[in-house]
Amino acid sequence: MNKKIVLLLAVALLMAVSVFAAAEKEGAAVGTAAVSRPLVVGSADFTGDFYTGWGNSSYDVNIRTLVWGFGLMTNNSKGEVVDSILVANKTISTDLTEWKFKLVDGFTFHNGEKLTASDVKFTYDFYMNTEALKATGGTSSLHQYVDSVVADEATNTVTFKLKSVIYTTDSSVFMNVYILPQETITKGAQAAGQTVQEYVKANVSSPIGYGAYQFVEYRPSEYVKLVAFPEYKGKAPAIKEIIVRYVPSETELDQLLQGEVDLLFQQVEEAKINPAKADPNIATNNYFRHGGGTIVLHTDYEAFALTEVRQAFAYVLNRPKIIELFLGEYGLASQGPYSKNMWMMYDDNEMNMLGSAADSKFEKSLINYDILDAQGKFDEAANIAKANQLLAAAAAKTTGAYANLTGNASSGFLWKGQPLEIKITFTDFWSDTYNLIFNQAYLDKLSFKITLQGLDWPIMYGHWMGDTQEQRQYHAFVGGMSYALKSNPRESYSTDKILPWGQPSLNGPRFSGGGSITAAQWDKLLVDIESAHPVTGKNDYRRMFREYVKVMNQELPIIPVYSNNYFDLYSADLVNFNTNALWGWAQAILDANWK
Amino acid sequence: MGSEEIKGSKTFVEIVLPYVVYIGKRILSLIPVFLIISVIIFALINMIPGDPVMSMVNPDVISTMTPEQVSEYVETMRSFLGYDKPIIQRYFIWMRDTVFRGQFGYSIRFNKPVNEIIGGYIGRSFKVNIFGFVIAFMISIPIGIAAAVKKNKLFDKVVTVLTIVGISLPSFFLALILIMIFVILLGLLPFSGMSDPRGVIPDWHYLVLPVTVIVISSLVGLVRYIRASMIEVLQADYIRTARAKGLKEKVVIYKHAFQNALIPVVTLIGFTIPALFGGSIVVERIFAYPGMGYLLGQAYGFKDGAVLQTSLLFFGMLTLLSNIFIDVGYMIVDPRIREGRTK
Amino acid sequence: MSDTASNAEGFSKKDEVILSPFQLIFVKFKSNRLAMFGLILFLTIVALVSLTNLYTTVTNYDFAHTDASIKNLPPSLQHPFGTDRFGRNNIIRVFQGGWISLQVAFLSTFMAVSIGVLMGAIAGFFGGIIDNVIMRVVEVVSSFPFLALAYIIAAVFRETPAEQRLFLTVFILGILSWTGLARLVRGQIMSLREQEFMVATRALGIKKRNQIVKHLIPNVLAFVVVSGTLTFAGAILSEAFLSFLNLSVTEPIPTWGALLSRAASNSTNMRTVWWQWVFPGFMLFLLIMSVNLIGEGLRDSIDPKATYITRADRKNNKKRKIEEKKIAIQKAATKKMEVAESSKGRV
Repeated sequence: MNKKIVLLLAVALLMAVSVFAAAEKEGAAVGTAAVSRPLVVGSADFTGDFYTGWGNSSYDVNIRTLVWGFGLMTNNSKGEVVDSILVANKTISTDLTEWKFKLVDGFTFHNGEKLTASDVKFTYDFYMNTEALKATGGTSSLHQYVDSVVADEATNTVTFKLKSVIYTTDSSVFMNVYILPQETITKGAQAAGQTVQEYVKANVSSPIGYGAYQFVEYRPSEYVKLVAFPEYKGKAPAIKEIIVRYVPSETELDQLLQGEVDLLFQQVEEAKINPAKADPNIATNNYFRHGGGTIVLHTDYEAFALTEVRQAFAYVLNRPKIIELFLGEYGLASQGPYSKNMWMMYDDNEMNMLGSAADSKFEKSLINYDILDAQGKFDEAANIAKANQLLAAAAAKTTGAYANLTGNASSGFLWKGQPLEIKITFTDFWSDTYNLIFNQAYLDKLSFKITLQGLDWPIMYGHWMGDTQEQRQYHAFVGGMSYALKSNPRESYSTDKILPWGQPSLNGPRFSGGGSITAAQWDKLLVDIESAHPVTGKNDYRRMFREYVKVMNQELPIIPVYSNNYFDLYSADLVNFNTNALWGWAQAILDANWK
Repeated sequence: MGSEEIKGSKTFVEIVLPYVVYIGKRILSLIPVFLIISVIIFALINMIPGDPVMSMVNPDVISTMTPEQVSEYVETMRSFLGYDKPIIQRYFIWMRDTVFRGQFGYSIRFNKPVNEIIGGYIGRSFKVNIFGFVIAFMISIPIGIAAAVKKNKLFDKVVTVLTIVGISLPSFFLALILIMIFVILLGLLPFSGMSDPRGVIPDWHYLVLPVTVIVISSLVGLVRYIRASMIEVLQADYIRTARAKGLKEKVVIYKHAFQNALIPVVTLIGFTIPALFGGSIVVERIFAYPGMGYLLGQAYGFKDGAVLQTSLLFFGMLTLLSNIFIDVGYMIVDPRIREGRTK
Repeated sequence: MSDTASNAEGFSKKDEVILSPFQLIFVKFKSNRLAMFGLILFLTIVALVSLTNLYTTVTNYDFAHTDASIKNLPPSLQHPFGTDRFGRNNIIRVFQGGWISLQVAFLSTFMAVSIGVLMGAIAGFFGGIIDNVIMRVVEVVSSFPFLALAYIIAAVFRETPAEQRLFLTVFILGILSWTGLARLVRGQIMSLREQEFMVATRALGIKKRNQIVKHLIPNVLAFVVVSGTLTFAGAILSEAFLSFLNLSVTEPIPTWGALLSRAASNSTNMRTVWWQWVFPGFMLFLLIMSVNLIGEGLRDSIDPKATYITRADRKNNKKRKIEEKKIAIQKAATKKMEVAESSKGRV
């Protein structure tokens, strides 16, 4: 009796679900055909900070790009920093400290407010008031560069007085500073009895921009919805509606294959790329990007203070195997942290040569820390032998810190009388890969100890930056490197960025020269790179950047583990969608259209 | 049960008052337990090594600053979040803000006050969990009873094996298998999320799979519990008496046996509810369903102290309250306990 | 029993054998076919897994050995369970994974049961303040979601080296899953305490420790065993959850939970390389099923009121049925004959 009831109930429930779902589905097909098709982009979860100055999620950046897209200056798909369509013309004084922008008339924000010179001044003042910004948990570095901003409403012109001018001034001061609507914000702040910073922070998830797409709706941990802005001054995009939604990494690929999302960007795993490539309904864009996986070595800590020890470690690190295990087919090793800025590769027409058999000339002049055998495979014995040879040479030296290193390859090397031990730390994300790379069988073949330690990100980052009250104990940190359009190495590697243990040091590897370069020479090189002329100094910059890469390659404050070989996977219905390393989906989508 | 019908003269207040007094007493006795739980939560979360401020520091953000500015920024954020004060003081500040001001702190992960976000997550969790639990309960009662009545017969054995199948697979796996069947192969339901941004698929479609996983994973315990409890009751003397009196088997089972078997089942409800909320960390992740489980998962990654403390305190309170709920439930279903407690 | 009784040909010496409670449980368990199936299945899995472990220990099998050229191969003669995404032989990993999973489950169950029984016994026996304190602890521990506490404990002990992660996992599982059993034991002991035999122990002045250890615990042992089997099954599943959240052991150590959760990291893979989850999933299913069947069987065996049919009974029943049939056939035959004869007679 009961059995039958239960069965009936279950069957009825199932049928109800399927009937409803089927009915709904048919209705849906008719419904969507009428209106234009929205583009659904799959993404990791956002923080919801859609105004610049707050937030720690790079996934929010895509929304900002769609809503604003450009400040006074912007970048193009070749990685050049150029004036945006907001600017009619720009004049720079000969001493470079005065930059004058005449704005194009008739720009409006998404809410209808006019965009004029005073909005620009308001924006820079907004971010230069660091005290008020900090009170809301926001940050900006504009006050370092900008002395004052003057707006002339009559001619719609803004004049910037800059404190100091360096090679990257244009990109850091003018490129990604999105203009805020002065009237809306001041009025709103007044009404709420807040400072303007507090007001923007309170409304940080509903941005008002002037870019190609207008913000419609944000549902936390669900999606962001945007529609094309009808009064957009640039070329009107063909895609009229964009939905960026959070998709779990476990199912994202199936969601793409099933058509629930139209685009997954910057995929690196073979397990996701290959099924997408095999599907005729999916198109792919593929591009290399420098940066990616790195290991940061603390160059002032114990045995890693010796260049030879760092090099020996680099030789025994089996990078091809890391790539094979972690990425499968799609990964490349490069020899410098940024062996070139990406735009240099474009300039030199070398994109296809990166990491390939036809290595660019630049890469060939650098030391390759993977000795390969005749089949092009990592030659374990040769790499270990090379490491032992380097260590033996260092142990033979007796000056300074070298006196601490003793022992030999057969009985093991010693540091201060104890077996030489290198401690590597990484987050869970890397746990499987590194535990397989440095497996017991391999470690037994080495003449020194390597210890692995998985840590949570905040703990690892605390040790990495030196901002921790805990005992110092790790030599190497597995992480990644983000990518800047115009790289200024001085910001990350000059010796004045090293602080005592316990305070955050921007110079992550705590690098201050080494066997081949003194601290003073190193700092001078970095200052020279930074102060290359922003308008005419491109070639100086290139020449000195090359010197910098050579030092990095020789001294190894950072081991580049792999360069990303990105795939954007998207519905084949989407055409004219041209992404590259310098041109993300949020920029490329403006030129794309449905088939 | 029957006693009330006899003493029909009791007013509503007379019936309800003992419960109110009892609940009041129990809630008062919660206060020390609440304090202990809060101390444990606070101590545990602050024992997690690592500086939460470091998870706020984004290499992209600070790469343009001087070291002095970075130090300053880290210090600013530390005092902004209140991490610069001694730990004991922080506990009292937390308790004061939570209990008296109703402010739960500032979330590192979401970069917002916890108050602004947590309500939505709790509400969404309640929706799937309660829904799932009610369905599981409704299904498990007839199955459990039938299995007990037909003990060791084929139906019982089939139920036993099926329930074991149900608990043999971790729920994250069950979730993926359901996705494989209902989404990929049959195309009946959406993968994940809460609602369709295009407004095409009705919202309840998004609930079907998460609720199904909850139903399956809580069904097993319920069925087995009801079955065991029924078997025990069916062997009792009064059931034999009832049968001997010549009552219909249906009356014996549903009226006499089931009501008594319900008592231990009430206990189970109290236990299952908090477990459901906590167990959904993984399931909510796979279904991208932004509930408490998802929130907790995010908070761990970022060492988000405020969110962790608030949600653990929420779970603790939920359990304690459901313990009271169990006891009141006992009072309602069991006259003996009612007499004992209201005296 | 009633069947045999009705079948009795009068009492003989044989029927006077008095079974001790444990013998009775044993007899009952043996007669439960589903439970015996569970036990045999369980022992088979344990044997298989132990043999694999013996093999890998003796041969010093390298679980970290990867070979990209044979990754993701479907099952074949050479690799009966296929290969994994790093090109390792899945069959060895699945069986070895059982070894770790069983270890985790055994040890954590042992830990949970010991703590639970001890705490429950103390609380139930002494009552009063001690009971109150212990029950508050139980309330506090069980008021948090399992994974939430597991997460925090894992974070607090983050610096445990890889080899000891196994024990950390055991510790997490053990320390969080004893509360239910403690409640159960406490309740049992409280009711036992008032029974005559316990009053007698008190009257005889037997030491408290002996009262608990020798008189109370044996009486609740039955429930403990049943609850233990459930904890055991739960531990294997919980390990899978911890693996999924990267809180359990790391590569190259395989566990069923880890194998499953790695396979579940990409839903497309679940279709294309199905062998990577089907085999560990099936093994996990078989093990949990066997443990649960044993638990169910034990529960029924321990229940003094439960009826059971032994194998001998079953045989007897069968025999009886056959005989009844024979008799029926004979009767029918004789009837036929009678009819035939009577009809003959008529003729």
